[in-house]
Amino acid sequence: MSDTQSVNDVDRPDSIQVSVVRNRLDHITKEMGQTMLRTARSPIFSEARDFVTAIFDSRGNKIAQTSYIPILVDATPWAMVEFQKAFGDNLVDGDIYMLNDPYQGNNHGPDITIAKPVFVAGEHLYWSVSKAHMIDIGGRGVVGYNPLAETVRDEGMHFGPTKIYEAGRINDGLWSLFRNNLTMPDIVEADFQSMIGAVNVGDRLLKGLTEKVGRERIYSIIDEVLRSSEATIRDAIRVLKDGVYEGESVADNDGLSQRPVRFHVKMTIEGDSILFDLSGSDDQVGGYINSPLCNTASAISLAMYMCLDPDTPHSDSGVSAPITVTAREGCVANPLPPAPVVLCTTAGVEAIVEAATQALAQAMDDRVPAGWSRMFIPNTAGYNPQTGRMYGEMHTIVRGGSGGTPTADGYDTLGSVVSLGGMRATDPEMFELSTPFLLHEYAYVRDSGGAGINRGGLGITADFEVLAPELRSVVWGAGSLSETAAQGRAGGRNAEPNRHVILGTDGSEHFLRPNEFVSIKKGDHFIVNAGGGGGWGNPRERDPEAVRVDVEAGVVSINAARDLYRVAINRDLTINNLATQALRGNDVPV
Amino acid sequence: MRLRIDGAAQPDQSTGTRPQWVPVNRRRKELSVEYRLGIDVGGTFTDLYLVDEEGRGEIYKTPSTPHAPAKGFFNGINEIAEAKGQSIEEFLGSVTHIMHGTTITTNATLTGNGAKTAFVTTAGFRDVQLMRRGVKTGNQYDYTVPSPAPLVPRQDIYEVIERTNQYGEQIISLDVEHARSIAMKMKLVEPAYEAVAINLMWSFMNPKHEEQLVEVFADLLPGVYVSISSTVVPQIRMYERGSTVALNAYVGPILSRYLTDLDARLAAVNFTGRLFIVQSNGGVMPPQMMMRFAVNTLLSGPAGGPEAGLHHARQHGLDHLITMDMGGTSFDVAMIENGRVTTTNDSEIQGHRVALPVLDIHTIGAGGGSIARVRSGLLQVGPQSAGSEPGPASYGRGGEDPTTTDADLVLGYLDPAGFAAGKFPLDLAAAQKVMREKVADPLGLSVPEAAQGVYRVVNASMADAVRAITVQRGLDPREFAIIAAGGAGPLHAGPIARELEAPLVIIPRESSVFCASGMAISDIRHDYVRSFPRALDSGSVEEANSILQEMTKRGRQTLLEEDVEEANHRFSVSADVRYIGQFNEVEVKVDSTTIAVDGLTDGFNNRHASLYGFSVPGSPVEVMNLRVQAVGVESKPSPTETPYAGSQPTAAAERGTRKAWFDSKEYDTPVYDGLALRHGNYISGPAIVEQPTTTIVVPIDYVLGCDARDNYVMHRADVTLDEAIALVHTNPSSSALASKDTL
Repeated sequence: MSDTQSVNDVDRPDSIQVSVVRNRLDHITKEMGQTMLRTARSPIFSEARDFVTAIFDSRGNKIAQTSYIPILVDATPWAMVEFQKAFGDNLVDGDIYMLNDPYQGNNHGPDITIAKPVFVAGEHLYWSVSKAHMIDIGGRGVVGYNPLAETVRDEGMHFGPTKIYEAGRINDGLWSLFRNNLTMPDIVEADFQSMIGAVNVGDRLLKGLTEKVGRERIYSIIDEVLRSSEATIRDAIRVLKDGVYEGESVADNDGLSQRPVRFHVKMTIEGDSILFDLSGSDDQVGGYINSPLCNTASAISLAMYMCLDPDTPHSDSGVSAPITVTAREGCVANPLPPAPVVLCTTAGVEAIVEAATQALAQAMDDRVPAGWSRMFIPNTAGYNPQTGRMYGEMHTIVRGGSGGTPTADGYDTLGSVVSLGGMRATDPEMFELSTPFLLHEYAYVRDSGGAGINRGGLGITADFEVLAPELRSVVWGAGSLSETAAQGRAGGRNAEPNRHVILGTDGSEHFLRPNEFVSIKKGDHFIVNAGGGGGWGNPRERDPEAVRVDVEAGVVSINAARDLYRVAINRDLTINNLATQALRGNDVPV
Repeated sequence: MRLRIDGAAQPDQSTGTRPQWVPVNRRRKELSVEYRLGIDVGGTFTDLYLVDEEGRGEIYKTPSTPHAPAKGFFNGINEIAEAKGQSIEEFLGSVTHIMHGTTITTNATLTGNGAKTAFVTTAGFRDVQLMRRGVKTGNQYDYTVPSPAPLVPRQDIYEVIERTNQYGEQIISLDVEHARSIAMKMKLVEPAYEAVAINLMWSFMNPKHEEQLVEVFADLLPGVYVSISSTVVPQIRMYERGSTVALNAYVGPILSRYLTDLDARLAAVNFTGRLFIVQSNGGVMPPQMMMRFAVNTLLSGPAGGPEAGLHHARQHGLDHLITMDMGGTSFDVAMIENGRVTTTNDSEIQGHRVALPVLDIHTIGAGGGSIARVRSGLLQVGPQSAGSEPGPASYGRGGEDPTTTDADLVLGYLDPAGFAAGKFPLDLAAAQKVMREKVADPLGLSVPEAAQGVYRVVNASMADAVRAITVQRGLDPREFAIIAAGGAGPLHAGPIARELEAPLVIIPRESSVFCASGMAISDIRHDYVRSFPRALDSGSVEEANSILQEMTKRGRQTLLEEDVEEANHRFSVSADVRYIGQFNEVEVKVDSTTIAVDGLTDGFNNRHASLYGFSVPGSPVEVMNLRVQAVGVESKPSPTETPYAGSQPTAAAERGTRKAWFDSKEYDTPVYDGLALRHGNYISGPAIVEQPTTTIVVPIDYVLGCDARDNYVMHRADVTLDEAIALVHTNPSSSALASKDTL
């Protein structure tokens, strides 16, 4: 029997058909994502892949998802609750809804969720969903980032659940209102179209799948898919040691003050379920790092999945069933409106993930990687005299390394943990083609990876010279302090923090702290140093040959080899065994 | 192993569009038979396909000799000569063309055994290649594995002082003295460098510095293979270009040594015909040029397949095809639209990007060796593979996991004693045992039910792979005929066609040497690319057209140097286009040798709509790259038909029955000898057709026939062949599928 052909009996579906349909649903979300990847105008879509595609059933279950950026792994269900509440009784084929209000089912404003109810033979069965980071939603920031925001209203336009297409027709008035509030309306409109393209592709493919499998069977198949995912994750949790574990980390600042912002995670494992409680975090703050619960929960999921067996499913509601995330209202992990929030998806997530992995490491010390370098990058925007057009850029080439793990060195210049290596750096020539900068250097930094048995990935340095008369810039993120540099684990060393400076044409040096506005002029040089990842395990136990190879490649210095790894390297790049033995002492085999 | 196909002939070319067979080497006109020979050296077998000018084909297979590939090449030729009772010189005297597909460069790359290579780049950009644009390959959540090793390690990457900007202006002149000191430093490295790859910022806008460096290295490092990015792939994106030129240098010396040796050995046996090498784009190139563009062979393994598929389908007037080649570990799918094999400029090997046109062959890890396992009550098949060592449990080499092949055996599709013409018996009991332990018991199913489950799941993933390359382009798989090949392809083609509602499956009789048969009839192909990052307007179009003319001229000269008469030249022009500000381009083919603003814009809007479900007419577009493909059309065999032999197979074709499972029931299934089926013979499913190197499963409600070239056609029983062909033509067209939503 072909698996997407209809059959007559409506008994419990056989496991083979369930397997086939699950693969098919997964495939549909990928085809939706492909549409967005290939058509977007903003680099945030096509290069940073900051979006997610998902399918929900009409009962509100997430049944498939591809999260191109892992931090959106658990961010979609919250919006669906709001859509269901607002329109659930009155859905029409051809409607498309959108929202981006952080206090109504969202993480932060630049991420817009759109959802199309999918009808098969007149019956509402699914939602085809896409959520993506828009380069501009208005507001006074640079490419969406405004570190001086005092409320969410300073961060741009926010829609609660809104009907943007009614029975296949766009609400022109609403759309032009939105456009009129944007600096880069054309790019946003094109990206929005690519999202519409994606949900339409999903709609079409879901109709086809249902017609073949049969309406009368599809829900019982979905139930089996969810049951299977839930069973897998419960098995994975059951092997963890029961108990209460805690972890804590800070973000550098909230933009308005220089005070670090503390996130605290208390994790309770009981049998096959886990409770994460972030109530011990700081009270909500004035600046833009407050993390709505939607974002907090997604950060916790991300931390979990990077520590569990990599094959663990993470794309449907079955997986989230045994995991509860809670935080008291009014704390930085569950703020009340109108606190500003834009930085939560990066600096907020990074602090939460660090805190959560500290807790997880106590329950499963053999799998948890060392810390990753945090994101601290410039956004720039303005008139580009080379193209004669306005531009806006997130400088994604500025990115540090990932942490060493119990079995492997970290990855070099992989970027923030929020993207788990899914964010592609802009090619240097493409960077010069689309922005008014000349790149003078773009290279690894020696000794930037935290020392360990398994070394942290390398960070980079870049030097770009401003070619436009004047540009607006916001440098945003975290990781400029020693406590927010990538942390070592299991005896591994921390990496160096991120350090950025602007060299003026007059020889002035402006050392940048995260989350400030800066104005840059023709001839200025932006010099950025993104730190490496943390090391895993005591560096004195690293294989001396691995240290030698690193020295030969020029990514570890002879001095660091001697002082941190306790390996003596001769000038001809061979290992001095006697000296190494002396350095390491007798307790460590060479 | 020799399998003569008596009376098999090659199908027609679409009439009038291709020249008839013309002997290329007129000196041999007096000889009665002239052949072209396709030689496909694969990992396990070297496939040979010999075809005469009337399209009669012969299949030969000989074990490959991976450590000395030329040996397997000549073993195969010797075997043919012996079979013909000739000396190798006599036999080669009747061969006008040898079309050779080699995986020597592929293997060197996959095993990390390329040439010792130095990489030279602009100061400040040493690490661009190592960074790979900072993307994690594989499972994003899996940090247990280290990042992949670089092709050229950091200590072999050198920086020269120079800088060209995006307008091609040399804002820092090349410091030649410094470059010479670098070259002197390289001389001291042990073991010595065999190759140097050079990639400078914006070199495609102004290649002067790269060309100066060639002089420096040629002077100071004589004998070293030097390759520059502005020649190999003059297009924008420093990483992609650098990765391509690094690969070219990495495999260039290896391919050069191999081809020089092969050429000498062929000369030693008085071969006076012409040797051509198969490229990743499906065309062929003479050895001399191939040595300079060695990177073009990296993905040439499956490249003969689509051409072969097209050849067979044209006899039925079909040019919308999906070719499926299923072997032991992988399932390769390619698409042919309007007689054109789709290509991509976006491929990779071992994580290294290749930014040159290659046939767009989509590969998934589904093959005979794919492992089935149960996780939380759901069955998964692949992508893990048991390979050939230990292989499926039924191979009896210690494999302990149930695989697709084991399922095929349990279901009765494969004959345990007759597998691989009886040379390689399969262990049914072993297959049943692992199927019970690893699939049936965990799922609470019987062993045959479990095997059917594996069969269904792997078929569905293959169907998804086909959807991936059709639906993603806004096309409907129902518009395509399926060409099924490879050792395992015909076992699974029926259910896949049913799943996709594809009306017709064609299984070439030389299915098992599918690629070699395509190679034998390949055309010469050269791809030219030039980056031209400019908005599309009347001014830029003029400039673009003069660049296109220049590229066309180069193509024409090259083809003439290769002795291709001008009458056989074909040029096709395309441009990579995007809406201003987009980050990805769409390749738009144009019907003329020049481009025009309106034509290219319309073509782009249409293509964008069919690919992605929307377009933005009126929005300005920009060009990134200009492309010219120069084709030297090679003469093709002219067809003969085999005589009609009636619908009833002769008794000689009947091999009795075997118990096999179809749609949850066991049938006494008739088994036929494929080689004894004749033109016009038809059989009804459920049935099994056996050939020495492949087995065809005919599902219930399907029929299988033998066409005028002795290929097999399979379609639903309730339609005739003509109706099935008509269905391919009349199914909903692509444009109707794409929803064109605009704001």
